[in-house]
Amino acid sequence: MDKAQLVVSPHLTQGLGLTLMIGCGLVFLVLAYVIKTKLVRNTHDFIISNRRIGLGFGVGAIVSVWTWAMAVMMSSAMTFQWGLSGLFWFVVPNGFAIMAVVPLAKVLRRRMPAGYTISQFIFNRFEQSRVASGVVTVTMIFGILLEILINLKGTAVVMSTVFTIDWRLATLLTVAVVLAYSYFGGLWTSVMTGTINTWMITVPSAIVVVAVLGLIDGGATAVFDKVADADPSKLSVFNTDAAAGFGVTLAFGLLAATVADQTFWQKVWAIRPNQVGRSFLWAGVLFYPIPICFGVLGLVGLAYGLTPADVGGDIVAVGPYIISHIGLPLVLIVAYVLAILAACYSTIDGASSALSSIVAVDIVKRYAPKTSESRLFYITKLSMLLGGIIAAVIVLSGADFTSLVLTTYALKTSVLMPLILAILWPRTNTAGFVGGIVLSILIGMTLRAEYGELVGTLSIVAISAAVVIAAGLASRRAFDMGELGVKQAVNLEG
Amino acid sequence: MSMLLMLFLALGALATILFVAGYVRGTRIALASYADDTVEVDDSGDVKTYWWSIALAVAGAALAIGLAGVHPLFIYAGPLMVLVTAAGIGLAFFLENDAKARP
Repeated sequence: MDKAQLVVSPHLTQGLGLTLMIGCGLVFLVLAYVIKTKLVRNTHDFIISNRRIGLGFGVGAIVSVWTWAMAVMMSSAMTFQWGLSGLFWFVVPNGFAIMAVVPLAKVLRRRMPAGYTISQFIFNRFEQSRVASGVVTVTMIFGILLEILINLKGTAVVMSTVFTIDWRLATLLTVAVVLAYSYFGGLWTSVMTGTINTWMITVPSAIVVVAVLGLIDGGATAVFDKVADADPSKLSVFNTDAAAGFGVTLAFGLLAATVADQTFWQKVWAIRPNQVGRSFLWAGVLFYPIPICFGVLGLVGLAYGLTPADVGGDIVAVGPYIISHIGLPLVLIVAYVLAILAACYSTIDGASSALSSIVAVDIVKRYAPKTSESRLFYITKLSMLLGGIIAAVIVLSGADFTSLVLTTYALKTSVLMPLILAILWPRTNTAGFVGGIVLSILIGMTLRAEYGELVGTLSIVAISAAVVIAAGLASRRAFDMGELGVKQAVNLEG
Repeated sequence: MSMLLMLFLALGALATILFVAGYVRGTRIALASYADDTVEVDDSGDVKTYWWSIALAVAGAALAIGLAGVHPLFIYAGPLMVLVTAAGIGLAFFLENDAKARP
């Protein structure tokens, strides 16, 4: 196995790449139009699917929105960088983060059965506090924008590595394609196309990875032996460097990315109540194999002795590089590209759909409650377009992929503990909630800059929780969680 | 084409059949619920104990990754399990209560 054997496959033209991107979007556009006609009557249907999402679509949609460029390409990249310990620390907290939503989702769905957004819960929970809900709303919007732009960046990396398409063109095209079909059907479109995307990510990736191993003389055994010869520690999951390097930070960040993300809370309120916990549980379990499968490509990269410079300097490109250089038939390269596109598209449309719910409930209906249904419907849809455009502009300005991911997670970590305590601990109060978030960001981010990711993340989590608990103990008041169900801030039922 | 690849193609086809069948069923159920504005609140059918399932899933994922460093055969565990993901989602559609979808 010599990396000199790796040469770019023929026929990977820019035209083929553009056709895949547009073709995929056109298929979803047709589906979205049918969904709009058959399932969407008003804003309520658009942002919450009439609360009729069942187990199958629930699981498919959760897996698809969670399987973003992070899961598909970073699993290969982390394996390439740290060996199996990198894959371990990347994968294990990833699936757990989805399943950690189960207890919170069950509690909140029962206490607030007609909710729409997590900011709406905070608004009701903290005596209509616009400060508390505003902090959460801003955090959610910021997180959603970053979700979109990170996945735009992921698509750009793949299309520029495999098809040499200008990354700026790939970014713009992705935004145009996804927003075009998301615009029509809202959450139903996101859920139904996302479930198809999950198939596109899973079955083709299994075939492609097995085919890659089949092209190597000796198959998986040769890969295993070559990695073991070069550096046996890369075949161990007990290498603590990976944990210290990114694992612990990422674990907290991933928890924040699900618990403090409207993309998932929107689904909590959209899935039928008797399937909410089960959907998140199944999604966590069924998500695990995806990054484990793609992680194999990182081992192949190690076996070939590739260096970051060989793949263009960004290790995120190691998977696409192997796929496009190992000699796979064109159809399998296309299958891999479609899997990545599916991951990116589904996450972006899920995030856009979440943004639409925030705009409708936490902005328009809160600050302009007399807005008519028809006007609200259009504002909601246009907000998706605006979010995509802003994210695209940020991506086009250029930013480091991995740093961007870790920064996003560090910021969202500040909301994690206050939010959990607000759901589970009745003595959590407004001062503690807002103070915890603000202080943890101020102190934690300073410590992060001084001492690095690990200290910064642990500080943010500890400070935010400590402030909330201290404020709760200092006050004798306890919130009656039973009031959540009757404090409906908005009525979008059409 | 190797025997192994053919095996995975066959398993992939089976997973796809189950997925498509489930997707069609799920779509039928969704269409049948159109215009039904009843707010469902009964969550009695949802999972009640889940910590053991979560622990098993986490341990299973950790084991699958760890074993890939013990014997090369386990490198194929990822591709094999990801087919289970597709099949599992297809199966999930058949475990839904479809009472309202029946004519």
